[in-house]
Amino acid sequence: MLKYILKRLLVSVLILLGVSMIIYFLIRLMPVDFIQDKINAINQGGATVSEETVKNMYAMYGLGDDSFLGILKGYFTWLGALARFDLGTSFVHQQPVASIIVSHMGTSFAVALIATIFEFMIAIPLGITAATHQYSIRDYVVTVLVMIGISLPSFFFGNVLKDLLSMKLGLFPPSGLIDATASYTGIQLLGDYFMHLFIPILTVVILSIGARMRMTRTNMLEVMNSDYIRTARAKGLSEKVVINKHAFRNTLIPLVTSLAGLLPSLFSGAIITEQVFNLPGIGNVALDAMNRGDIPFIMGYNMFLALLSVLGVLLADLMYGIVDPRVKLE
Amino acid sequence: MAKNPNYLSGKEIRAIAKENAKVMKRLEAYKHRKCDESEYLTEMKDKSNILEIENLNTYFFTEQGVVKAVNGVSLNIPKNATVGIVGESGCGKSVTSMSVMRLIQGPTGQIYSGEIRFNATEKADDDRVVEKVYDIAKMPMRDIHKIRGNQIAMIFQEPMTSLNPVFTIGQQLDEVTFINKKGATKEEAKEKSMEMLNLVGIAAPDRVYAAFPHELSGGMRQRVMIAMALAADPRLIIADESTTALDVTIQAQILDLLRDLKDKIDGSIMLITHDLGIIAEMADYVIVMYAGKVIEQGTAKEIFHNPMHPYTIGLQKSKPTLKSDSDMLFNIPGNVPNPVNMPDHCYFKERCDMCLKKCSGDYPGMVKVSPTHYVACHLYEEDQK
Repeated sequence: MLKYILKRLLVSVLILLGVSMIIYFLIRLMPVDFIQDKINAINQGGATVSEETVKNMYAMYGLGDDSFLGILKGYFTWLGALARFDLGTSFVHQQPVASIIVSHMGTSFAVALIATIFEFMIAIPLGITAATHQYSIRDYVVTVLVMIGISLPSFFFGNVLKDLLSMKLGLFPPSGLIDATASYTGIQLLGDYFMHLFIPILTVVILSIGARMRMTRTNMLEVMNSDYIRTARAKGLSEKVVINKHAFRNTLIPLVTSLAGLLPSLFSGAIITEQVFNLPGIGNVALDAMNRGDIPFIMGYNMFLALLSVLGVLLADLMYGIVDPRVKLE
Repeated sequence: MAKNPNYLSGKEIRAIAKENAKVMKRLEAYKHRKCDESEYLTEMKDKSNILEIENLNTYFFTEQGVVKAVNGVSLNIPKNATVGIVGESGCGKSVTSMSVMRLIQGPTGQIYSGEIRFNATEKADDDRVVEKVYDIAKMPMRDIHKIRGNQIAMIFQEPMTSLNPVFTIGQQLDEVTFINKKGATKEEAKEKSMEMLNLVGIAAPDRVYAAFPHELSGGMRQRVMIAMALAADPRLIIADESTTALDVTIQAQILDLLRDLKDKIDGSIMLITHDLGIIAEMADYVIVMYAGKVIEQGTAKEIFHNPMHPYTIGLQKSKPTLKSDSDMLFNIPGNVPNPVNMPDHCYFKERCDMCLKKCSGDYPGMVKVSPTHYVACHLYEEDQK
């Protein structure tokens, strides 16, 4: 088992190297120029920047050479810094990338974690009832509702909820993370966070239930039609035990695998939802960095997600070995 | 252009769906109703029978129309007897047995009408054993646990997939004891499970008890299935093609096992198969089914030495023998008729080489040949002789 994990971790290092190289080249080829934007801003202020200064700035930021070899050199410089556990300094924020990620991750993580917990708690029972009452009114109602949820774009639905719950009914604040006019502490601060995060979490939950519910329903249906469920019924078990013990335990197997995709999404931030509700989450920061060509931050952020993805897949495989006795990890 | 009978217009499909939905809804509601026990208590016609099926109709409401998988089947299973049911694939053997267990998958599959009378024994509060006759077809699903497992047990045809892959054999076997014995402890359940594993001839019960299904071979799994079926001391065992998936040596072992066990538990066996050899070896009575109907029934001797229905005769002929010199196996020409929209005349008419004029008329009734031998064929009706 330990050997298996070590082997997988070593392979992961190779994967991450490949990923970092691809991302770096893609970013360098992106038609965004942080320096040019900066100079334009200075120019607009009335001052003029000399050719020489511009050249020096490009060289300072390590963006002077756009040839293949130049980009390669830039990549290895970045990689060398990474080997010393240095993700570099963000162009935009002029702060270490790692500290920016850490300081913005909390909000995104809180939203994603709470939303994911609710998503599972709602979607799995819905999927199970829909499957056990296949083609009944209950099945159709649940399916139609979650399908509406899947189909709504988050920027639209988020704004609808904001308009309804915040503007019309005035139940929750419309945006931001804390009430800037009040200075809460302790429990009150927590309550304030809750009030501000309620609508964003609600949006994310409603939009994500659909996929999970459909997945549960499909798996459950497949399991319910299998021979061993018939055996369980023939034993004289009540339908409740058949569903909750024999069927659910088997439905769990693919649900656990889907946890793999979940680990990175817990930290990546909901980019659009954070925009709509103006939350200082990491998704918001990442989008901004992307628009302004903040190469160190984009690299750091993407590598962070790549690392989580690789770990998530490993974790899912390990979980597979736990929930499915047929899987042996060697 | 001639109308293709397999083609349905959108209008026809919608009409069928509407009609089906109405019937299925009514039958589903009936299945899940709350009712008093007295509503499904009944009396046996013949006290020496353990199971009496009378005019059972089990239908599947498909998009193409109603498939009458079991179409007016009547049969009896006497106490302490082995009754074999033979017939080709799709003739309704399995559906009949599933109807007895009420395992027909709803809402499309439903018992439409008929009676399934079963003589159950129950322990009364003062530990006396009382006999009760249930009409299984009328039982609501919430009461079905009264017969499943503890009175009638079923051994299925797919040992490879019939065990839950995520639980150990022990967990699945213990469960049976937990259901049937109120307040059984873990040790008691394990003891019973080990006893059952020994009974079905498993050499290393300790190892098998702790194993997961995927760690066992097909024959071992089938033994486990049998152990599971017998753990609750049922009065009737339904073996639905339980040896079809196994190789011949294992098959012989399993059949020996079943025969021994039948005497040990003093019960009856309903043996469903399309293998005539197994029937000849095991069964006291044989019931031959064709296209959802019983076409001939009698003692094993009568069916094997004096088959009367042209279909039974054909079945006997198509059995491969070592004695014959022929390179070709005999087969009955033609196919089973389309299960939707069955004709009014004898279903075997198109494939029969002994047809009479009368065969285009009504479906033949059961003709009594001997006190135990019945055949549904116009050839043997009184006025024919």
